Amino acid sequence: MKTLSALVLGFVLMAAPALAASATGEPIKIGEMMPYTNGPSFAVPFREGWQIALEQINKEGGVHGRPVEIVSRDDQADPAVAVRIAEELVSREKVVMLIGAGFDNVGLAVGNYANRYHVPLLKQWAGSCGPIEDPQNTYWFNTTPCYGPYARIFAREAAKLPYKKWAMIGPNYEFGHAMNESFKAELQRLRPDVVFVSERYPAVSKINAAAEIRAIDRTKPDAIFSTIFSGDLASYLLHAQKVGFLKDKYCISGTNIGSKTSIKELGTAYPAGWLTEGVPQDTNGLPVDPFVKLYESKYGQRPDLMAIYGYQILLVAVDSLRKAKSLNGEDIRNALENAKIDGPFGPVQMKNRQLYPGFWLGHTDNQNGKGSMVNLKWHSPEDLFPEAFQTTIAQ
Amino acid sequence: MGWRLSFFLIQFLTGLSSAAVLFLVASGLSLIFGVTRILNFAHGSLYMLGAFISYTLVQHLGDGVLGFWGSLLLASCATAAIGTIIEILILRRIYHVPELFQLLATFALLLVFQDITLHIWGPEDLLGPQAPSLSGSIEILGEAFPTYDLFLIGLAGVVITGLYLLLFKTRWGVLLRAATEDREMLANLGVNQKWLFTSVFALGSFLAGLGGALQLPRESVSLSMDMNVIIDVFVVIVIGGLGSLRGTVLSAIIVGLVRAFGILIFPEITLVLLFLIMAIVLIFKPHGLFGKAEDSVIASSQLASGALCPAPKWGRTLAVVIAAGLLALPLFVGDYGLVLTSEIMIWALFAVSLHFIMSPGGVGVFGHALYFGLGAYATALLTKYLAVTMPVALLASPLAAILGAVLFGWFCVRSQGMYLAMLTFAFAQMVWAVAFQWYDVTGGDNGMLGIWPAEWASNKTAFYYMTYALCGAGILLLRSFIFTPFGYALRAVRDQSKRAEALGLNAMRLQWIGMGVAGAFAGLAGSLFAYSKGSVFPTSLDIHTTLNAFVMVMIGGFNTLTGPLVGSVIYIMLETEISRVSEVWRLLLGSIILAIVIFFPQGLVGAFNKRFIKVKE
Repeated sequence: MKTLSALVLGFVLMAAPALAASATGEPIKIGEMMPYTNGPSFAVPFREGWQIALEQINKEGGVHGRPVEIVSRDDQADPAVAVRIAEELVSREKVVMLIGAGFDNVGLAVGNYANRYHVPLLKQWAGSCGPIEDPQNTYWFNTTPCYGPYARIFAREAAKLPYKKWAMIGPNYEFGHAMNESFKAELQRLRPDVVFVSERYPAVSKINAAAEIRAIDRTKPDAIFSTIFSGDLASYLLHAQKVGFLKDKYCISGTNIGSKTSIKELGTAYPAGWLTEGVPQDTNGLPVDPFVKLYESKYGQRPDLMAIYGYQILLVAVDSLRKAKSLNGEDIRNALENAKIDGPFGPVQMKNRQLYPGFWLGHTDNQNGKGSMVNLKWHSPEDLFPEAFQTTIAQ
Repeated sequence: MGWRLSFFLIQFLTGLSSAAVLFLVASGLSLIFGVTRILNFAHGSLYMLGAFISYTLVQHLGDGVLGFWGSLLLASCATAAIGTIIEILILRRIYHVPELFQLLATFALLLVFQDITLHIWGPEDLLGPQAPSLSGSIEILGEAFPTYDLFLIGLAGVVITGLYLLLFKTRWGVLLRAATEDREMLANLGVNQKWLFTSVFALGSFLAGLGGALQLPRESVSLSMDMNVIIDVFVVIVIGGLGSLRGTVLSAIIVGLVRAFGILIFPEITLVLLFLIMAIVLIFKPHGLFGKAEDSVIASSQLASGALCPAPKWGRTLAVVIAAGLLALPLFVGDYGLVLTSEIMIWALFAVSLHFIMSPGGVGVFGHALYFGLGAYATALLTKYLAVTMPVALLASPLAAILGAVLFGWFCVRSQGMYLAMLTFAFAQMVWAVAFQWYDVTGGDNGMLGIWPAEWASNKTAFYYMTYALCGAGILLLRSFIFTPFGYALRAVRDQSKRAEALGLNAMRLQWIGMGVAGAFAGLAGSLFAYSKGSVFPTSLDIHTTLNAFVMVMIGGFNTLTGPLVGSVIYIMLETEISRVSEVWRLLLGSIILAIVIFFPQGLVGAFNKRFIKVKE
């Protein structure tokens, strides 16, 4: 018990806020958390992205003359730990908003906290539509639209193709089910003659590739819509390669496997001819933006999707801080609802608490074991807006 | 009907090929367990290292026949060398400590290797080449089957034969089997056990590395390979019977086939199925299919023994001072201070409940998160589906945990030693898998949100006082149970089970009730945890939650009463502070755990007591 008291005392001292004010004015703090030790392959590029934005913003004089500071934490991919970190960031570091919270479960836990304590959360990426559809959850902002619009875009592309027998495979959690079902609903609406012959939902990171492939192959589909990713996708592709499963099938990947990280991670097994989202890696097609130049000079390579999102997310955050009437949560939220910035590749706009960036669709390619993206086509954010689909219905 | 036969045949072969890899890894672990009695978590790390090293070697040596197979072989040898170094530097020092301590030490090694691997190979998944001339498939009854998978089945056959010859036809094999039967006797006969152990460890590590390297053409090499494989492999060797080679062969085949066919028949409960089989086998065959009952296991599995004394006068005074200090805490710290202290108190209650069942209770459980998670999920489900108020949920959650303890505990107390630990682990994993896969009810991985405390307890100070009162009362109650006739009877059963039974004590029933008591308080902690976070996720049921509480108790010391309290304070503070400043917190945490197991197996409070306080023997 003695040690206990000593530690409690020590802890009290540590917990006491002792933050020195900087000479050029009190910084405005933004809390950031990402799984830096449990999912660093996408967390680190994200941080590289916002770090460039941060330098740029502070060079321009910050927000109303005050510098912006980001307090970055490792959320350990654990929702309970992430909530504690959110508490720490909000009540001890006095951050005015939160960004990041990469994994869905972490994001949902932090969002649940943020909504209750009126702290806006700009969620990196978007897997879950739940918080957007929940009218009570008004402090949650997705930095890409959740699966619905993307699934519909892919369905629209699929509808142009001659294939009639489709199969689907996706991870067995909200993202996989919702993305695949949105795709199916939209494709069947556009093409009543299409049938879905097989739907498989293997447990995340526990795929039994041989069994799944055999189950799909029995139903003889012409085309496959897939939302599995990373390790599961690798096992699936390796087995498919051995048994020649994908030779005569057209594939769409709803998860973006056109990113640089995916191309690297899937190595020699990188598929050819899949429709997916990607980023151009050569100068052709990629508009030259100051961000791209800064990124290249700092990290010696072209930015990947996550870096672009990391950059945009901070621009949006700062845009809303500049426009907000005050730095209280409600005012920042109101400003965020109408946020609009010039992103590296065109305007990026907030709509119904979701940020709509433009995006590239293209086909994967594999030349002698080296993966790449070909025929990338830029789509402006309007293509993802809900109205875009309503007009299709009207026609 | 032709296509049906071929379909089943192919599915059968698929099952066998995954059984082949499982067998390679599991046989190594089983051999090591046979002689050293250590269930080695780091075996998963060796498997992962085998894959990473062979990936790197293939990049340099090329993916031709010589390059590919040479890389696999070299990687396996390198893994064997790493295993040997681990054995000589670390495991040799912990052969005498209780089994669960060893389990924890090897888990610490796994943490250390995770960070080392991350820093050498980076965070991204890596994908190796297909095996030369085994990259295609052959037609079997009109269906394509990968030749590589067929090769793996053949290779496993070769390894089984090789191991059989080694064990039964060589002198080394005779010694190894003798060590598995009776270590002391072998030592008395003048055999140098040190090198026997080291050589077994090298062989086992070689097989782990080979298993990992052989995965190159089947899956990407990633940082999660270690945990993924080790849990499967534990299941395999426990079902087969620890230390039994033929048991491992049979159970790898069972697991492989259940996986292959289970996915067709029950795609929604694939994760539960594996642990269900393990639990069923252990219920009907308490030592696995071919394992042997061992009396020595019971003695060495004990984490604590001897007297537990009520605190001396100064200790009680100090406790009162701290309690008063905590009561006044809201005057001195801000909201975050209160939040963090509340969290420490909740973990302390959970750790004390684990200590109760393990130390005075003498039941070596390895799945205590089950009760914590049951409490948390009971709270969430009652709030979401029945809209009950907070006081009702706080009362109902311990009851839910008790129900769990009554059900699962009944089976557990009939088991012993490492099998008991693994049975409790299997039950916890089963409930975790249900929470994870039963998406419609529990929300799966997305968890359950909006579990906030009642209005009157919603500000941080009010919630702090409520946590203070409930955790304080829980901790004091558990502590006072130790000095009731029930507590003495539990310890009598723990220290001298035969004598206690002769005196008319019903050992099983006492331990069963003990599990219920510990479960109830763990459930209360889980319920408070749910309210403090506002949400519940399957992580509250997983192995990391179990391990957190375990480490807390161990840091403080198993054979002390204040140990779990001190341990939980230190652990949470370390975790929050280290993870804030460092991205290698797993390496640091692992090293700290190792240091405690090696240098202070009695824990910090235990060491303090030994140094400064005379404990009555």
